[in-house]
Amino acid sequence: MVRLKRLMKTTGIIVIALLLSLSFTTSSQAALLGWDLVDNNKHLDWNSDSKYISSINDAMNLWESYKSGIIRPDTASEREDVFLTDYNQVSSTIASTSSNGIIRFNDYHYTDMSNGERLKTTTHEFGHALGLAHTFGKRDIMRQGKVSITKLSSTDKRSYDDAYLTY
Amino acid sequence: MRKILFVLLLIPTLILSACYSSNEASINDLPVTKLTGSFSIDVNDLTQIVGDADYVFVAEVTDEVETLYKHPVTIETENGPKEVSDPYTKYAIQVVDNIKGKLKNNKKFDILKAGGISQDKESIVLYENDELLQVGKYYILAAYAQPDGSLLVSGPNSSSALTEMGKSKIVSSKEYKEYKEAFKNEMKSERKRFKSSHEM
Repeated sequence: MVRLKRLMKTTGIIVIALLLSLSFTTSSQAALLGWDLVDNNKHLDWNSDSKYISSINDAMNLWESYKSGIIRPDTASEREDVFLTDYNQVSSTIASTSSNGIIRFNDYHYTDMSNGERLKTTTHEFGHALGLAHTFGKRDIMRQGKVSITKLSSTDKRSYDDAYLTY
Repeated sequence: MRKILFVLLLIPTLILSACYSSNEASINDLPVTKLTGSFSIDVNDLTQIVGDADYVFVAEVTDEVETLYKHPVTIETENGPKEVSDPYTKYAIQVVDNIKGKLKNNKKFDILKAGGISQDKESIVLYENDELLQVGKYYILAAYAQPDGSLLVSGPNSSSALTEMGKSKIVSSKEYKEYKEAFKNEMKSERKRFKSSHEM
């Protein structure tokens, strides 16, 4: 009976250790681009002529729910740091962010995407504007691919924390 | 008399060559405006690059024709409003071998590559892990047919420079074999496709 209890205890420890190691391996590394579009006052003011304004607002709110007061629409007194617009092109690019301050959404992909896919991609592009690079976790907003993700992962948050220190 | 003629010819030659080399140096010295983004495929997976593209082929770049500027937007800068467009570099190419699709290989035609010198001539716009093509070099290109029949090469890893010259050496190169293998195992994307006007 004592042996059985010891065996169960040992097995339990091994299972917990395995689960812990698995959780470490499935979480990806935080990553930064080395550039961002955040201004000297630690704001990312945006302006847009995009038709995907609902996704833009949802994406802004997703980042703002983690760190508030950074991403906001521009005003008459605050010049935009990034301009969001649409274009049409047959290619694998769903959307792009350039270091000269323009985010472009590709109608070729965006038109038929679900709300979750649009939210993921728009949040992803804001992530680039904040200085975040691509990561490889399945639930990361900053991963590649046309997928639906509606929450920030722990890796996305760690990347944002690291980026914030550079503003 | 001959000496005078020689000097008269030499001076403009020297001036022209100096202008040309300083222009080349200035383009190479320009800062890079980086493009990063979201892609519908894993751009590091060759089977997905080949599967998503409409045409994959080996080509020699014979000429850099011009830079086109598309999708203009007006943004606010510290110096006031500024119109910014995306540069696309037009190259003349000659297809050496088709890996996916059948493009004409008996005549030169133009393709567009996303990226190039910016409209204000102050930077080079390029995707991450991407480079502009060089005249005289051979590349494996993954291209997308546009609705007007033109071909676009766009995004990270959409062009792969070859060190070998000549078809026989190219088809036995490691890079070529990797693309042939990727085509055999291609992960074809479900998307609306168009046909190139340069098909055989």
